[in-house]
Amino acid sequence: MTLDVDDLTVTIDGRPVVDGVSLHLADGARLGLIGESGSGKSMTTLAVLGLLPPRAVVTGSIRLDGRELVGLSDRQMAPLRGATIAAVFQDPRTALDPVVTIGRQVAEPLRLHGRISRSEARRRAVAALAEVGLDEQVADAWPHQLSGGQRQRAVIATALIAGPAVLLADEPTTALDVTTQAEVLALFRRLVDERGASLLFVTHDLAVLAQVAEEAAVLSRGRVVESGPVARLLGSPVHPVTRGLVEATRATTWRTP
Amino acid sequence: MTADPTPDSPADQTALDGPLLSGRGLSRTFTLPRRSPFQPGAVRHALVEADLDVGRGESVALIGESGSGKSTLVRLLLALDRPTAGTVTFDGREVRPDRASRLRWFRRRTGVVLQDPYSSLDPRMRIGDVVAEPLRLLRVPGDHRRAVAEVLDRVGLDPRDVDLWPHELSGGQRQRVALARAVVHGPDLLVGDEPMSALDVTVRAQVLALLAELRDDLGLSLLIVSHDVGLVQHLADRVAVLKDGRVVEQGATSDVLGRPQHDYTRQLIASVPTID
Repeated sequence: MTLDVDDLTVTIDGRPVVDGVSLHLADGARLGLIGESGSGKSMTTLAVLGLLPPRAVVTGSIRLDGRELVGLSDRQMAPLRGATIAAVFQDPRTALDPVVTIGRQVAEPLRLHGRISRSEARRRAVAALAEVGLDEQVADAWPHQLSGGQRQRAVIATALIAGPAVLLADEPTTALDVTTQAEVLALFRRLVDERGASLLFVTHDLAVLAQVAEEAAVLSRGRVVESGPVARLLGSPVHPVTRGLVEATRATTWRTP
Repeated sequence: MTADPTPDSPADQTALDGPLLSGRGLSRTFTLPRRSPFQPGAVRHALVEADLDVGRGESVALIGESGSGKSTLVRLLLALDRPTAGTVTFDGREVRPDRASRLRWFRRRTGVVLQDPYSSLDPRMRIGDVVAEPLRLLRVPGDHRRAVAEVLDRVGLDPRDVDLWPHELSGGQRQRVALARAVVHGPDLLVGDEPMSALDVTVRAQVLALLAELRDDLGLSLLIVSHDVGLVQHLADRVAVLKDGRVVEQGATSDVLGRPQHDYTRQLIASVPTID
């Protein structure tokens, strides 16, 4: 499925937090959206999901396989969320309900989007957990019994269980340690490629972006300042913002000796 | 233990040749709550016979995953916790948890900066008071207002910012305030616990450059606790790797990170995303 964002503007209390953003996520592609705090990347993600705060004013267009999403009511958006478009956010501690077992949470999109028996929900949840590398026992565990990496895997299983065509990931590995991050990034690449889903991956970290996306757009102050293949952005950045990000990344991140 | 006649002026005891900070054979065990009234609680070995030195002017990094014992070791080295076995010395003098008055000489010579600039600054204190607090608590003589203005300037903040509240600053500015607070009393050793992990990459680059600048200008020794291999590579002369409470590898940064010997270190290096 394709996702086309055209001239998207989000204004909150008179201040444009997203200012004329256009993105094209091709069917089965992995697109990165990179920028620092306050650049508008999370607001763009929330706009696609129709989850902006009520006082936000949205103009422009967001089309999913040609179908316009801007202006849809919550009631019209609800059937798409979790089923056609799914999302994984940064912090796996707050994304899970502490008083619901993992198996029930992973199956929730199925129960929300159709009639399904309890045993069938359980069977599909266990299968989804297996796909992200978690054992059947995890289905009966409570969120606090899992490590950060296991929780994020459970969140990813929840996002994927209903077979969404578009997956939005907003800083999904920022709260994880590097070894877990590497595993989760590999999991994203594999799941997206195997299922033919399209991925919009939001991050502030160029090194992470380079592991997961093929193309990327650089966001600054609500605008796309540069876009193109990730290798080109890293190798010959043109816009000062991109150049600053690449230089800062080279100065702080690991370089193979 | 014999009473020290001049706890606040240890200059006469300075041992210039040995390491600045030294931990020898440090172990710490915790007894877990008992599961049955008829059996003792299980014993957890958080740290097992760890040795770690920080030389004068040297930058040492401590890396290891969550639960490896990094924080336990740092708490022992800072005399915030008592080892089950082993000793800590600073400038040749033994350091152990004690009354504030007896540790004041040690606190004056060490500064600490923590991970998250959003939670490490008291939201009810103005920047000037946040930075001046160590001077007050450690009873450092001299003109505190002037010392605060100087250190703010040194970390790249406007000395007129003393009247601002923490929430009026960006994340990077807050981490500069935290650094100013950590060095305002003129310590010899700066300890940083994941000092950059909450920051954007351009801010990280600035804070990293500032840390290196402070170290060089003030002649600080650094002890950095981090699993950020990039930070460690750019800042540390020497690295110690902790795993399951033991120091499994220790040596020059280029050796340990370039030719890791232990499985954990190898896996860590292989996991780090890079743009090369």
